[in-house]
Order: sequence, then C-alpha cells, then structure tokens
Amino acid sequence: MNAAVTSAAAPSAFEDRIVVAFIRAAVLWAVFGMTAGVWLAAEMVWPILNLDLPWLSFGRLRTVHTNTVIFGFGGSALIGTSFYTVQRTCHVRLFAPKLAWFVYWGWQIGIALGALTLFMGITSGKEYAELEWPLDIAVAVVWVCYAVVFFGTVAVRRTRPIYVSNWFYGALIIVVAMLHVVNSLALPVALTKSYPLFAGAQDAVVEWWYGHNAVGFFLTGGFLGMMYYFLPKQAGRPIWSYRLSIIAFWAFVFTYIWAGPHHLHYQAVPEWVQTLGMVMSLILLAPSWATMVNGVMTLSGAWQKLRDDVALKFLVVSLAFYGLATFEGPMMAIRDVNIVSHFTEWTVGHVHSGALGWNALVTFGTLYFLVPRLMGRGLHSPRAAQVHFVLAVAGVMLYIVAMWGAGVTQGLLWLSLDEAGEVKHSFVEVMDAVAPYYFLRLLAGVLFLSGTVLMAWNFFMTASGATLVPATPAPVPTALAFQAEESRRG
Amino acid sequence: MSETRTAQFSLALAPAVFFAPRKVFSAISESRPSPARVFFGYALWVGLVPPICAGFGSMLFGWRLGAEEPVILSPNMIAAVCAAYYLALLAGFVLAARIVLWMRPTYAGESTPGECFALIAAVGTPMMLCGALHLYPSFVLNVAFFTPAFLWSVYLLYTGLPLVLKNGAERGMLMATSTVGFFLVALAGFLALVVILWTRGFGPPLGV
Repeated sequence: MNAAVTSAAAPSAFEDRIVVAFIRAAVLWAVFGMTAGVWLAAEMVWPILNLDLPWLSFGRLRTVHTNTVIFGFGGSALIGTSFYTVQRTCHVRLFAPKLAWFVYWGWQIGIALGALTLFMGITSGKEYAELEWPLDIAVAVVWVCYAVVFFGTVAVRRTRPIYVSNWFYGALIIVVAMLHVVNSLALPVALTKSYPLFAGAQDAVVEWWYGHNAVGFFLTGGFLGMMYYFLPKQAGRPIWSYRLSIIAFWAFVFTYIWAGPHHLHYQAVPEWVQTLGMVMSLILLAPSWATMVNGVMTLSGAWQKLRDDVALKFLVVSLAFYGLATFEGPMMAIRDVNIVSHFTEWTVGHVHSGALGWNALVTFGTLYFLVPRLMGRGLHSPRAAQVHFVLAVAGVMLYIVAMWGAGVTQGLLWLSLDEAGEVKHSFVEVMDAVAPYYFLRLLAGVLFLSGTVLMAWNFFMTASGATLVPATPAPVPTALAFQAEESRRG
Repeated sequence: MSETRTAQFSLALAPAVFFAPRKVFSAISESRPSPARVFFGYALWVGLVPPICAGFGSMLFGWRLGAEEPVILSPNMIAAVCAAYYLALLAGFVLAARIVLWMRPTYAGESTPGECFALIAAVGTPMMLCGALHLYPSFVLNVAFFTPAFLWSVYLLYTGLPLVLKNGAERGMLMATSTVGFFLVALAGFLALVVILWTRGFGPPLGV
C-alpha cells in the first residue's frame, strides 16, 4: 500500500479551528436570519407586529433577513466548507492561516455592521447589494484576502489535478469579486450615502447582472462545490461521472453570466437584451440538470446508508429541490410566464425553493456530516436530527405551495380588467385575497425555523465539552501526485 | 380445497388508498395488471373527476380567487379548458409512469411495467378524488384540501414504491425522492404551461 503513495515528511495538521468557527457563525446567522424571516411573514399576516418601530418596518427588516441568511449563513457556510475541502483535496494545510482568521473576523464584523446599518435605514437601495460604500470596500478587501487564502492553498497543493469542488469554489470567488466591485461602483456624498455610477436602464442591467449571478455563483456554484465534496464523501462512493461534472462546470459558467436580463422583462431595456436573457436562462437548464443527475446517480449506489443517515437524507432531498428550482427558474424567465409571475409571491416561492430547499438543506446535510467528525463524537441526538429533517422538508413544501397559490392569485387579479379596460381589483382586495396564503407561509416558516433551532441545540450539545480532533493530510496517491506527471514526461 | 382469490387492482379499490393503502399495493403486486388495463380500467375514469367537477363548478359558481367577483368563463371556454385539463392529467399520468419505468433499473426495481402504471395510478388517486372539490371552485378551499392530499400522495409513494418495486426501504426512499422531484418539476412545468395559455388568450381574460 505504501508503494502507491508518495513519501513525504510528516505534514502539519489541517487548520480546522477556523472551519469550526465558520460553522458556529453559520448556525447563529441561520437562527437570526430565519427568525427575521418568520417575523416578516408574521408582519404580512398581522401588520401591527412592526410595533410602529422603524427598525422593524418591513422594508428594513427584509434586507436584514436577506443579508444575514444569504451572506451570514450561506457565506459563512461556503467559506468554512471551502477551507475544509481545499485542505483535504490539495493534501496541504491552509495557506496563510492568519489571513484566513482575518477573513473570518472581517466577514462576521462586516455582516453584523451590515445588519446594523440596514436596521438603521442606511441602504444603497440595490437589491441584495444594499450595504453602503464603506462596507462595500471592507467586504471587497475581505473577499480578496479569502481569494489569497483559497488560491494560495490550491497553488501549493500536492496533487496534480484540482478537484471539481475547488473549480466551483474558485468560480464563486472570482465571479463574486467581479460582480461585487462593478455593481458597487458609486459616488459617495457622505459616509452613509452614495449614488450608483450607472444610471437608469444601465443601472438596472448592471444590478441584475449582479443579482442573478449572485444567485448563480454564490447560491448555486458555491453550494455545488460543497455538494461535490460532501455528497461523495458521505455516500462513500466517487462521483458518478467526473467528466460530466467538469463539462457541466464550464457550461454552467458560460451560460449563467448571460441570464440576468430575464429580471427586466417588459422594462425599459432593449427587447433583444430581454430575449437573450430568456434564451440563455432556458439553455441553463442543461448544465444545471447535468449536475443534478450526477448527484442523484452518485447517491443511487449508497442506498444502504439511508436508513439512519440523516446527513445523506438532507443531501438527497436538497437535490430534488435543486432540480425544481433550476427548472422553475427558466420557466419563469419565459416572457409569457413572467408577465403573470413577475412581482408576485410566486417569485418569492421560487427563491425559497432554492434557498431553503437547496441551499439550506445541502448545508444542513454537510453540517451533520462535519460536526461529529470535527468533534470526534456522535451527534448528541440523532432523533432530533431526524425530526429536523421532517420539519425542514415539510416547511419547504408548505412554503412553495402557499406561494404558488398566492402568486397565481395575484397575477390573475392584477391583470384582470373591467368592461372599461381599467384595473378591476383594488390593491386592498388583492391583499385580502392572498391573506390565507400568507398565513400558510408563516406556518411554513415556523416549521423550518423550529428545525434550525433544534439543529443549533443539537450541535451545541454535541460540541460542548468536546475538543477539535486534529487531522493531517492523507498521503497522496502516486497517480495523482506531481511526481507522477514529471516521471512520465522524463 | 378452497381457492385463494387474487385481489384485483380496480376502481373498487380507489377509496382504499385513504384507509388501507397496503391492501392496494398488495393487489397491485398480486394481480400484476397490464399498463393498458390500468390506463383504460382505472386512470381514464379516476381522471375524469377533476375536469367534470371543474366544469360544473365553473358554470355554477365561477372561479373564486378571493376577490368579490368570481371569474366567469363562457360555456365553450369551460368545455375547452376541461378537455385540455383531462388530456393534461392523462398525459401526466403516462409520463410519470414512464419515468418510474425508466428509473427502475437504476434502483434495482423488480416489477412489471403494469405494476409501475398501477403504482402511479394509486399514488395519484387522492388528488384525483380531491378534484371533487372543484365543484365549488374557490381557490383557497382547493389549495387547503389539495395540500394534505398531495402530502398523502407523497406518503403513498414512499410506502408503496418499495413494496411494488420490491427494492427495499432504502433504495425505495431514494427512488421515491427522485420521483417526488419529478412531480414537483412537472407541477412547475404545468403551471408555466397554463400561464402561457392564459397570456395567449386561452382561459380567463387578462389585460396583457
């Protein structure tokens, strides 16, 4: 067996303390951000719950919710798991660990200050990019440091190939840096106020080039990186088709970047731009589903582990919702569908089938894989984890159904005209019509949040009193080592 | 010697999906019906419930979306929409059964094509019977009852699939999840198709 691996001096242990720190932060942001989401859902049912406080007004709390769940929960989970994955797939300790800790603190302080400023009503007004210019600059600096740590680790790797997860994480880092910098270009007029460099329709195109690719490279690409490492690990089998994963990666990267204009159907942008966005969104289905098929087929051989393995269950179901979200998106990008679905709760349901069904479930599965391994002990309560699974899946399903109902109702009523050709239904009438669905959505949110709180408690109990298990890089198989390539050439 | 009577998968078993689902699945396994028998003897009839009820409901009450005035369609439009609804349900049924058949070797399923058709027919029955609620086409009322009916169908799929395909609880769970994924996608696709028809003038009059 030793002959099959390269000889090397005893490597130093992986830097896993930072992974634990990011997991802790991700779980805390999940509880905070989802609580904000449930509060917002409750405000839609009982508007009095804003308590007449500006900080709790829907407009402010909504941005706090989106920023803390996407960047706090999702971002911390992505950075933490990328640090875990890149060390193991490159067989080296993390490059520049001190800089990695700067990334950790920079990211957490950035998200916390971001939430605080949004609560205070300080916003640039650009969706999913609401932070004002000082925080934008700080985030850019932290992100560049993240790139140095990640790509530095890849650069000093001991394996010749770069595993597919790292391609996805790498694309996340590069593209998000590009999107964030370009979309945040602004002229500051005060410490807390700036105006975008772009104006009118140009600003809208740049905003949705950013917005949709944030979905693409942050919420899809980054999490696919997570899936491609943790799913085969947990299933105990290699990826079904490694070749397909690479083809799907390049097709995904090429196609996604064009799809943004589907957010601007029937707006004051050239029609050909809208059509291009629509067509590229439809083409995007192919690489998205290639990845889903790869994941499902990888799992199909790991059936014997499903009886008790809650991590694998989360991963299986997350793929089903990934399939739904990546199919529904292109459908909604079709202009004839978009005219009814746009601005309705259908869009909100679509976003949550992706964010809860795909992003959150794949993260939960990954965390249920990681925490027991990092802590060197079994989960405190496997039963609670099973209950979490049921609560999470029921919550997502109910959410989607409620928002389909609300969205179709809104779309039809808003577009109904009376005999004189005027809008037939008043705003209040439409709000009354969707009230039952808003209550269902609140119920769905409560179910999902309860599961997340249960998971947080379970992890806390698992980790309390335990110490991090040190892990060292495994020997590199000869076929994958740099020396193999050199000796072949020699 | 008394002759053992084999339970047949037939229309008479339809109500049993609510209170004795295992009896339905045993009947499928024992009688091994052909796809044609399931289609013509079961799906064709159960699938009639939603469009017929929707037709009568739309004519008598109009579709109630929560606003004061219901959406009233012309009798011709109602007939056309109901016919399209029926065809879509049958096409959806055949497609879902074909998908299960297609996935069967991957998940080591051991069943005849007819058993796969019968499984999908049984799984879809709660929603088809729930279609009786279209007699009073209030959208909220229908969503309120279709949601638990859908969940019951999902339960039937997870319990019935490993029994009918005889591939064990774990493989069955994976295959059932893939099938639920297909159902969700089909539902989203159906919704998109319906909206395209609306915006093209087939259905309620919209200002588009």
